[in-house]
Amino acid sequence: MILDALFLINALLAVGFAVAMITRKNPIYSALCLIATFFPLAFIFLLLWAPFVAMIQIMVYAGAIMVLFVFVIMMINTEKQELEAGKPKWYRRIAGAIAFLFVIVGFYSIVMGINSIAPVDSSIKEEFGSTAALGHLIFDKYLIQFELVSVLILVAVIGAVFLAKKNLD
Amino acid sequence: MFFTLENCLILSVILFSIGCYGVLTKRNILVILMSIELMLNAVNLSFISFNYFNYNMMNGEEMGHFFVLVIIAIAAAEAAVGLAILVALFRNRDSADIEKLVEMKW
Amino acid sequence: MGNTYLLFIPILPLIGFLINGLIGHKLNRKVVGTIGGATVLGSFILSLMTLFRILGDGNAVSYVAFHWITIADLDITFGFRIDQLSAVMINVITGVGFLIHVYSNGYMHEDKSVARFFAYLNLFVFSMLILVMADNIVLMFLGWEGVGLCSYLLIGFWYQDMFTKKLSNADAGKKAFIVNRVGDFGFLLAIFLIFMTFGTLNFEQLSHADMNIAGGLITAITLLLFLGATGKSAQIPLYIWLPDAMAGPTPVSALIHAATMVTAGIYMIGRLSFMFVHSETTMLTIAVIGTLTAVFSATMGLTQNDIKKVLAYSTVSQLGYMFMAMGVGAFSAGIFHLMTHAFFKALLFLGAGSVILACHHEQDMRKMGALKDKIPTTFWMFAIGSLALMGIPPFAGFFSKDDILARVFVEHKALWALGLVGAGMTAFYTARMVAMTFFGTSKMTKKQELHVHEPGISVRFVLIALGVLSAIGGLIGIPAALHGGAHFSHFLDPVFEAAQAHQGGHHHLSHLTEWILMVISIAVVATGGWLGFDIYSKEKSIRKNFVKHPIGGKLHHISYNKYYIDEIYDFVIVKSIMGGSKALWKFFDVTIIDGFVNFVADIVAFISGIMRKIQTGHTNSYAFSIFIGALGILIYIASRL
Repeated sequence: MILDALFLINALLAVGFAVAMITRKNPIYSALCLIATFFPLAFIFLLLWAPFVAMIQIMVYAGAIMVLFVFVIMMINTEKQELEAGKPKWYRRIAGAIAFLFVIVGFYSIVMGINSIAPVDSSIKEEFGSTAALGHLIFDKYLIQFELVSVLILVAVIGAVFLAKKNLD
Repeated sequence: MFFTLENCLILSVILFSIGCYGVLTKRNILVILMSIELMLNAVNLSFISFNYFNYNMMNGEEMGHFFVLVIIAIAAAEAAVGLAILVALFRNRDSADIEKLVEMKW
Repeated sequence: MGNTYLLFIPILPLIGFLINGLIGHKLNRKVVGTIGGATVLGSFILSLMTLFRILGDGNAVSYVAFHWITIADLDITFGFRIDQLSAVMINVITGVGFLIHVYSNGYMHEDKSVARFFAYLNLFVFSMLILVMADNIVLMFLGWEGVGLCSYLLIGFWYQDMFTKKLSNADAGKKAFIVNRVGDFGFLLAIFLIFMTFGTLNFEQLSHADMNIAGGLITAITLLLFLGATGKSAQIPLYIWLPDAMAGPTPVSALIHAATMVTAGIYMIGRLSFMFVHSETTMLTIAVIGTLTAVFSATMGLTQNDIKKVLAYSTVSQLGYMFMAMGVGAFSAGIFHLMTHAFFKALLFLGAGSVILACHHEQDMRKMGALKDKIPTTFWMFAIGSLALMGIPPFAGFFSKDDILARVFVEHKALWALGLVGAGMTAFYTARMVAMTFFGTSKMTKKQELHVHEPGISVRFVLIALGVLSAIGGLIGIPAALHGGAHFSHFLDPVFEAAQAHQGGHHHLSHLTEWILMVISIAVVATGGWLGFDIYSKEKSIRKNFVKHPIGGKLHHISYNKYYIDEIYDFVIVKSIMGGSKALWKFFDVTIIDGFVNFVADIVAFISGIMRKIQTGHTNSYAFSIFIGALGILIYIASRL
């Protein structure tokens, strides 16, 4: 019961902030709203027995990525750009229709397809989703994939530095 | 009973759609990138919930969690590169307006 | 395989061609000439060996190198079969060919692309040998096309020069090639028909096949074959290319356009004589066409002023005599004349070449004269060749031509009479040519006269060798009426056995009749020769009066302009095809073909014009399509739940 309540509250908060993010005209508010969206999501991750992921969510997303965003927003100072005008109305309607269709079809799929999935087992292991368990997974079973991800990040870092250099030939 | 797989997935779908709407309608590239982050997060949520609610089927393994970690890493990389491009673009164009990037059609 | 050496007869010139063609330009010109000559000499020696072998036991020699094309029932070998006929041919080709190679060494010594010349010449010898050695029609056709190609290449050898005012040497080559194409088309159709009818293309098998098929079919086949022969051997209506083929270097004219290639048609008819005799119509056609060509081109030869043109028309005319012989079934007489003609016409051409060189590349006989004492060797050899061409005994041409005329007399008296007139005219223009070139007064400039000189030793050697052959070459075929053995005709008998068996026994002329015929022909020839010599060796008023006379002038004009045949062909065939093509181009191509193509292009452009609007260039719209696609996939998955 308490789980239901927590989930509901956090879900509503996440959706609310997400909507707020895309409705703000000023990108700095959007960024803040997005950060605010990540916290209830992290809370839901906790409810789903994923403490490590929840922490990473806050640290990496809210802490690192969004800080990056905010820095860039501050740096390039888009306020003088007239971006507030937004897209024309008919365009937003079509986009809205597509997004709505996603929701509808997603609802339909979930409701129709959920039967094929077994119900939740209450006898869940104590250490499920813990740092130790994930550590074993990452550094043992999926070591190669994990290393590949690190290479990817390395490439991204080099690429980012290169792109952001002042003199782009 | 709210805390079920269905509701987790529905939350995921709603967040994804909101991100999708943002990508389609926003003119500021920064906000578009943020919307993409939101969409990635929605996907993360569904991975985590599938992993939790299908505990038995997964033999107690946290594969979904691993996927999420990978996605977060990729999202970080994507944000870094995307923002670097944006900075370079802004330096050349003095604008972050996606409407002005129309060179794809010559 | 004891007959493997047969393969080397054509292979040797091919090797010469490859060496000269590929690396000849880097070699010394002497080396090039030696390679060109030596390879042909090697073939000649092998050919002689073959000839003696056949002389010994009388059996054909054959060798199959490999199976060339094998498809279902069709089995075409790359094989050679040398019987008496092809033995004569290969010896003529390699023998005369070798002499002409030697001559060319002297003749072409100033030319800058001598390697190219010898390469082509060797390729020609190779192709011609393939033509006559082949044991099936397809391989023969390969050689047939090969010699056509070489003819084209060599006529246009000096492609940068003009032949006449309107025609460049390259054009003359093209003319020869295209006119030959008409004939080759007939030949090709005949090959298809033969395969369809008899199921084989091998000469040996064909000769044993049952020829008693529907008369129309065999006539069609043989007429188509004859069409091919008229193209290659320059008969009416396809003779027009040969006079223009004189654009090539003189040794080429001697080898290709007098001695060997142009006789391919005769050879082909001889080779397939067993087929030709089964169609009366074709045989008559051949005889008539041959006679007409003989007389017709002789009349054109009467007035030409270019020494090589005279010889060219004479060649056409003499080929006409050979066809005449073929047409009346006197195959061995035709081949005999082919051989003697190869000797004396090659001699005449080479002699003419030596005259042309002496006169510093002057071919117009009106600008020559009184060369007799200046270049005696050339003169005497040229005289022997001329006497042989006229048919004065005991020179080679007499026996062969007389043999033909005697046989024609048996079959068609009218054709014989025409042939006799042609012989008279031949004597006339030959004597005229000799008179204009060697006798009378010199019409050269002083500078030219100083330049006149005998050709080099190699050229003289060749002239003398051919002179000897022209003088005594006919002796191997002395008819029985002259107490000879007619050896040549007996030698060839096995080849034409089948044909002669079908024709049945000949009405043999009594020796008295033959004697009378000979005397008549000698009388006609002597009269013609004397007239020609007498009129043209001195400044006679009859020449001017004849040209001034209203009728005589017209006749002269028509003959000089070759009856305007070229112009008529140009008007009737070339212009009409050009006109038709132009009409098709203007209407069909531009309106319908282009219209259709443009229409398709317009449709594509129109649709693209609509489609390109999808490409907005706005990043959002691309994201849009991604999402629509994702939505589509999602809907598809949902629909399957």
